[in-house]
Amino acid sequence: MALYQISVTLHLLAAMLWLGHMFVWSLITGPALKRVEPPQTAELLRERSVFMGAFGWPALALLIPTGLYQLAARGITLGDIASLSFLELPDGPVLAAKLLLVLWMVVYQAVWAHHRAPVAVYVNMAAALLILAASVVVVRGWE
Amino acid sequence: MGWYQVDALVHLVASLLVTGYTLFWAIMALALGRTARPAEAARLLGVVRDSRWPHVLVPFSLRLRLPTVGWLLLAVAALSGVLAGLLGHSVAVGGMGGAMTPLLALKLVLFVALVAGHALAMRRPQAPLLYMNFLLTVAIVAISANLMR
Repeated sequence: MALYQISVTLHLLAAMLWLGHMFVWSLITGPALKRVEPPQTAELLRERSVFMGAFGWPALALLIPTGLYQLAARGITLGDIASLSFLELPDGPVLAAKLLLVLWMVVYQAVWAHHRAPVAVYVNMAAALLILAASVVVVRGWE
Repeated sequence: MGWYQVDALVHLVASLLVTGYTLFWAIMALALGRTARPAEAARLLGVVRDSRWPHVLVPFSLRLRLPTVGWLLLAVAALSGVLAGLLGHSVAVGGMGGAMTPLLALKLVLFVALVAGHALAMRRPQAPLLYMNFLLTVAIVAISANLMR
């Protein structure tokens, strides 16, 4: 039980830090700093705000193994995922949607994450919100 | 999705945004502390505090300063959290059942500390306060993970 709780804690922390960084920088602080005067100060602050780099790969390095561990704790193994037999479970389709969206986020991270890609960024954030919704349904059910 | 699930999603998204918000301030404090003299770092943190959002579409006078955005995020997190308690999801399916536990009480105490920390930090952004706010947020998230079943 303790290992499961540690896994859930790490999973949630990784998600919150990665997605929090993504959403706040893209939607709030990045735009806010654009209009700081003078422009040289705006550029300095924006450059400083990203000095630690991105969080995607470190977060995924935690999210994927902890996610798989938590699935196994619920009786869904890698074999069940590979064979799609998990689709027969009551929340199988929702879980499938979540896993496909996670796959999209991995592809986004590999292809677009460190390049200018305004459309892909917003698609990625929408995927993140859908993953959160699917997670709520998997853990708490529909009603 | 039922109302509890919708509220849970709102709470998750608000928490994610609060996490990103306190992380942003901690990173700015760290970055400016390393590359600027203390007086200049303090000045630049004040510039960040006074920046406004959104940056387009809204007249400048109606744009929100970053601390106000922070207050809104904290308010949504708090309200959605209170609503989750009121909706009192059945313990039988993994919810709280509306009960106060020591862990939940600790979470609420830390949240109050975060609110106080935000108020102090936005009057005068200083690195120790900004780091503390971020650590409080991390602790709250970690506790929340252990409130779930």
